[in-house]
Amino acid sequence: MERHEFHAMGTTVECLLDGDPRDGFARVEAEFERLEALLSRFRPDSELSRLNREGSVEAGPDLLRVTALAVEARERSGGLFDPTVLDAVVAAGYDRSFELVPADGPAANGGARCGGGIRIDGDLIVLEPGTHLDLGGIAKGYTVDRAVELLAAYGPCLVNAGGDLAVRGGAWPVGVDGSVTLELSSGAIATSGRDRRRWSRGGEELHHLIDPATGRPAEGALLRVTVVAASAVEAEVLAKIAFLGGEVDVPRVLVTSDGRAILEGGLG
Amino acid sequence: MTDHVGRLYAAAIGVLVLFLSWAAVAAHPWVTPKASPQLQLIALREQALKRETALVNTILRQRAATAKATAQPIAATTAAQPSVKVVTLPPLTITKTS
Repeated sequence: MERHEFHAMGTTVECLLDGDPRDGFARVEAEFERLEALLSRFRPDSELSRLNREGSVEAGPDLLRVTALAVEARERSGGLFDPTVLDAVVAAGYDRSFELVPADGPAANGGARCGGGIRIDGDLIVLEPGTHLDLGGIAKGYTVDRAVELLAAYGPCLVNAGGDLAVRGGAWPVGVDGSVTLELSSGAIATSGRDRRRWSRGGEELHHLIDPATGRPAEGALLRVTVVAASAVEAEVLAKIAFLGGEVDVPRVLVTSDGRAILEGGLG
Repeated sequence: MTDHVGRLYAAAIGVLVLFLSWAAVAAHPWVTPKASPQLQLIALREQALKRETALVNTILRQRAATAKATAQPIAATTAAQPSVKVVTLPPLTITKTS
């Protein structure tokens, strides 16, 4: 078993491969770097930043595809998953790469409007005036799906980008929440929660999962949700929907605020 | 009298033939008509538009091929169904909040 780790997209990416990696790990790293350069909201020269600045852009195939997936997820979830939360997450204080966000500070601004219009016309993406995209809730899953496809050419493999993971071939025991281990032989797992990317403003605990209905960090009885789905994109989207109280019909582990783990969707 | 009338007719016919000949020669039928500068500009613009159309179609075909190649792996990914079960094995990796 070969193991390789590197840092990308604000987290540690772990690759496991049952075979000779040759240049496989280097190709995965390059793919993460390529997609981060296109899709990061923290890079002023990214294609996403240009779209947010200019309001419209002739997009390349990756931004086009991720935006289309996000729009589709928003429609499918009735707006629970929403890529137009950038202003809200910035208003809450997450306005720079997470490791640079101060742990404490003065009270945050109020919420910001979500749900702005996104039009995709051929290669052209057009945002409604005042609308800005944060693809952080889906781009990492997209990248994991791309990376695992690349690495699968070298043998059975797993790619885990800070909790968004996908496998191809083999059977992979994955620890969830320290209390349960899921053996995944195909598909992907993602976890969304308010226990990690969090900070404090004016004494109020805040986190990065925005409820599009209020434009503020979501409140609820769940600490985090882990779901299993066919792809990392799908798992990431469903994990957020489940965290925000939406109905999902997939294997999942819910962890409540008091630390209880509940297995649902055929896992229990 | 008859001769006089005949001469008048002959003279009239002669004048008519002379006028028609003059008009025919003045029309320069042996010279190809020259197109106006505006028509020439329109013809040039038409040719340029045809070239641009061909170029745009080529670029669109290339972009469609690229987008299709990009979409295919993802479509294959989403088509596969996940397979998962709870086990008591030690984990090889852990998932955490992303």
